[in-house]
Amino acid sequence: MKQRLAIIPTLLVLLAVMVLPGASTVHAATAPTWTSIIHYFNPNPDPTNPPSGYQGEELNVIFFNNLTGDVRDLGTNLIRLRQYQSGKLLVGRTLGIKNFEGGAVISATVPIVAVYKQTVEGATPYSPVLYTSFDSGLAGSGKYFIPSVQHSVLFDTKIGIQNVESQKITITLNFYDQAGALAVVPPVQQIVDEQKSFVFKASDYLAEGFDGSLVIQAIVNDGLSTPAKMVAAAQEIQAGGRRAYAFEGMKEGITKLYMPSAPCEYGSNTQTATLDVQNTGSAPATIQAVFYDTNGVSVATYTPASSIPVGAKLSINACDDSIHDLTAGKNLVAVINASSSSIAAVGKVSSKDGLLTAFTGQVAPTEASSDGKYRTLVPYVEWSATSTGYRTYITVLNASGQAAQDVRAIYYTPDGRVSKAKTHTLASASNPLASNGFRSTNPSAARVIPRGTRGFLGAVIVESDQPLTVLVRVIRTTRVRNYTTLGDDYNGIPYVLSGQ
Amino acid sequence: MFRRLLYTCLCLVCLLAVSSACQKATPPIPVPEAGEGAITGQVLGLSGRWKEGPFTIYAAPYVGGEDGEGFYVLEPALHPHDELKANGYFQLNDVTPGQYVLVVGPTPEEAIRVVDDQQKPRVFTITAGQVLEAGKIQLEP
Repeated sequence: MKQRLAIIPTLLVLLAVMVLPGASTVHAATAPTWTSIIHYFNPNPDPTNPPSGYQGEELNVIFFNNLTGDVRDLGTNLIRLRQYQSGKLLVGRTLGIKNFEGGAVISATVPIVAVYKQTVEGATPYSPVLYTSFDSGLAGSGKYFIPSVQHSVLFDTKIGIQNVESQKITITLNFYDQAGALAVVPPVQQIVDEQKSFVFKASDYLAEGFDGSLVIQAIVNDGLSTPAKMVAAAQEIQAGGRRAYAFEGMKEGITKLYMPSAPCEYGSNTQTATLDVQNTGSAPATIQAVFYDTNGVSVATYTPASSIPVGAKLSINACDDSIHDLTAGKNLVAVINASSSSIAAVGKVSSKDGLLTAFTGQVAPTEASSDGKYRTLVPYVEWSATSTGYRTYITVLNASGQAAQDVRAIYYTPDGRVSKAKTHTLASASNPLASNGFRSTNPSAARVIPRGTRGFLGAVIVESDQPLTVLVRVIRTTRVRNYTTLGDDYNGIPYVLSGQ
Repeated sequence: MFRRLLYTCLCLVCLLAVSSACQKATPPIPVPEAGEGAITGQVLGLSGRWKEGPFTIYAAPYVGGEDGEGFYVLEPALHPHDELKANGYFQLNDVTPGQYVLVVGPTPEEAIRVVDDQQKPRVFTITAGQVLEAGKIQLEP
């Protein structure tokens, strides 16, 4: 039985925007060969015992064009997957398909996870843009939240919403300003066909200067107002610059969110985080953001002067005047607690040398595998031999109330061979990871780069005895003035082994 | 007599040298496995494209309509690929029948598409049991 698992609203229409200003010297007069890259990973350890509902080990890619209703199925060229195998699918399109606006679905016969990456190579590269695939469990039922939407001189948020129902749905876009007022009245409504996506820019509906949030509502067109399932992601590309990033929306809020990167003026390039916190509940939200150092020691607590209105967002700067003396110069993480309502959040980390990343606030995993271990998947890990290539840094945050005594990052090469996998131990009984503390790993620190090779490419599984949240930062250096560091973040994907 | 013998020997040596050179430049015709196909050809215009080689040709499965619009998806580790020989000769053997876009480059990410005379991506159709001789092919400008 074939299951469609990884739903990726590819936002292909965005690619043209990204590619044109950064056209490489090689492709200056023509379209790029590749428009995007999908990094996939098969975490299933036992091919002879697939989870219920699965059979065989194959991967397929299916494209949907919203404008024409066209469906393109790669079917005849299925990719066979072995246990722990990872790889990349480079996607291109022939010219003449400029009117493509839609999404892609990865169809697989085993549970897989994927990361979607958009890049522009050449002499004047853009930041890579990264976001994780959605599986059916991440589809919102009736609502989806985008904590940060802006239309400014520099950024015009583009948002893709994909209908994962097998019938038409009607979506309603409720844009909120930071005071909690609806910015567009009446709210925008749009019918979206089954499995299709709706892509728009903030500037399509909002005046310049808007900096707020979005609540997406969706119902099935069945006359019964049944809540509809959908997923949504957002992407922002700097006008006149090289910064670009993406983040996933959240299907629901929660009262505690983990932000695995919240520095304040940290490092020589003064990395600083902004945390956009959205009220997803039905009452004003009272929140606190607590900043922790690597040892899990509380460094500062930010308490806003007022509550967050329903649907609206609040932006918290890790270097806010009220906490600056405590956080300045430090590499920190943050935990955001909410009372009287639930919240969603997006973290953005910027530096003075060009870096600007984004990631969605993370929820602590609640379910361990039957062996008692919590697992988080990192489908795409790269370490280029040169700093101008991509290099991946992984941060692991202990999201439990007690110290973790067994945290390991297991690096798998693309062929997935267990005999070639290498383990980087991040915490042990003699070197525990404190609650709210964090540690990092990368292929260089883990010593997984074979001598004489061009670097490392593969996937990682983080195993631990306590719930963790994992953030992955992919960066590169360039010679572009003011943009010597470019990069984006994506979240590790919690995974529970089945059939044990 | 000695001169004639020497001349004959020289001719034979020359013929052998030419034959050897031909063997180096033109790969033998591949024989695909049952149910598979193959494609051979010569990529032109490689010089000056990239700083350094070697260069590899990849066959990316193509899905498209009659209108010429479509997608191609390449898994570099799994889909057919071959390092270009001297003078750009290549042969991709045991290719699953279907339609492909060919790309060439020092890495998959840096690869450039093979195009037709109108500079549009050229789609090659591979048939089971047959070797498609693509001849001299050109890259996108």
